[in-house]
Amino acid sequence: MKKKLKKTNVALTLVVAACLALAVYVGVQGIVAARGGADAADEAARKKAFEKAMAGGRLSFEEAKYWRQLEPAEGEEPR
Amino acid sequence: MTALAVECELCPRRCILANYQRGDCRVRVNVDGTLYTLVYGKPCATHVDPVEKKPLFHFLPGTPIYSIATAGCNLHCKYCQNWEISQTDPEDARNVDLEPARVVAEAQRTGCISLAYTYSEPIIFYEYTLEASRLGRARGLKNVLVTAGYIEPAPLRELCKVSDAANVDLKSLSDEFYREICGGRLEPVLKALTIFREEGLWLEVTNLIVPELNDAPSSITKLVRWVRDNLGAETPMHFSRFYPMYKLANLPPTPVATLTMARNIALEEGMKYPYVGNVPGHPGNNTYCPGCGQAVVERHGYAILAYRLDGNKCNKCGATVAGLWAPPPGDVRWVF
Repeated sequence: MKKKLKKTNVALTLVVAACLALAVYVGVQGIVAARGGADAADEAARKKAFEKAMAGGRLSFEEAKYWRQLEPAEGEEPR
Repeated sequence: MTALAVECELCPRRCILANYQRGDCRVRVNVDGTLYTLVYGKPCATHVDPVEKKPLFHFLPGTPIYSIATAGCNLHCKYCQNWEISQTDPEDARNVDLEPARVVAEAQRTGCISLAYTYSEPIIFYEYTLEASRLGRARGLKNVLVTAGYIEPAPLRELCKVSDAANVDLKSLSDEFYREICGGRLEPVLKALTIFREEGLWLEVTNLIVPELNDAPSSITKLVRWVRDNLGAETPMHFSRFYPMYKLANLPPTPVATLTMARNIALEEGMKYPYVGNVPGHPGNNTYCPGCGQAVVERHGYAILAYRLDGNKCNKCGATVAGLWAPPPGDVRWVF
């Protein structure tokens, strides 16, 4: 009887641990997605403001001198 | 998916810009991984000024200079005297279309022999300044930079190759002042000043004296000594009067006595050509011969009242007066 209870405890512990791990994974993914979404929203807002500024016809759009592209951060893909 | 970020390498801020983000100067923007300038050929100010207004007192005196500026600046001085254009977005300024070739044409049409990149900060409209300078030089015009000198060495050296003179606003010799009042740093400005000297431009230095902020005799002495030891005693220095403006409208104008004191400190420290600026009629408006003390150029503000030089020599004692002097225009003349 005791042996059966012990097996049940181990099984339950494993299930709980798996559930916790799954919850943590889902949470982290959610945060990452939310951050990506916020970045995308920021960029969309900047693009909209830029297009509005350009629409006024008072600005030039000439390539500048003295700048460099930065390597994308790990996990990012350049467009 | 994320577009590439870019780093602007024009000025010491080294802004890192995400897609569609603008630099601190307001006029440079990253679009899909390429940096663009928004003010090329789009000045918000164009005027014909006396060269003395820049101020340049030893460079073709009495001549008109075609002066341009765009909106924006890479410093944010709380006392900025041109803040309406320097601290605004370029799309909110009253810009005109004036390509570099037209800048040169307008300068020649209006009888100017020089071009000035001024009022706001030519560094932030770098590409426009560079091209207009190239075209202007090819047509025999001189190029003048009126700047705070907040620029990286490589672009500055390239610009110096097509420039003839500069007036650099050295705001203080305190890094804390630069950080707290101007939103920048001192060291890059000092580096830029030495580059201007190395590259052989005619160089004059302006120090706007603001009550309570940079008017202590010890601060002025420190600044004067740096100029003397690093740029030379023949570098003209302009101690200019502050008028309440922008975020420091609560301060009083600089007392004339403070400006006189600054000029006297410079004389005591061995500077040959210290001036008092923004106080018309002050004896410190004049250029005095370092040999005999004669007033070789008498001024009232920007106007020249008397001119006593033969070429670059005092007409009384023959001593050399440093500068690029125009042919003697006559005994007395008024300009503008």
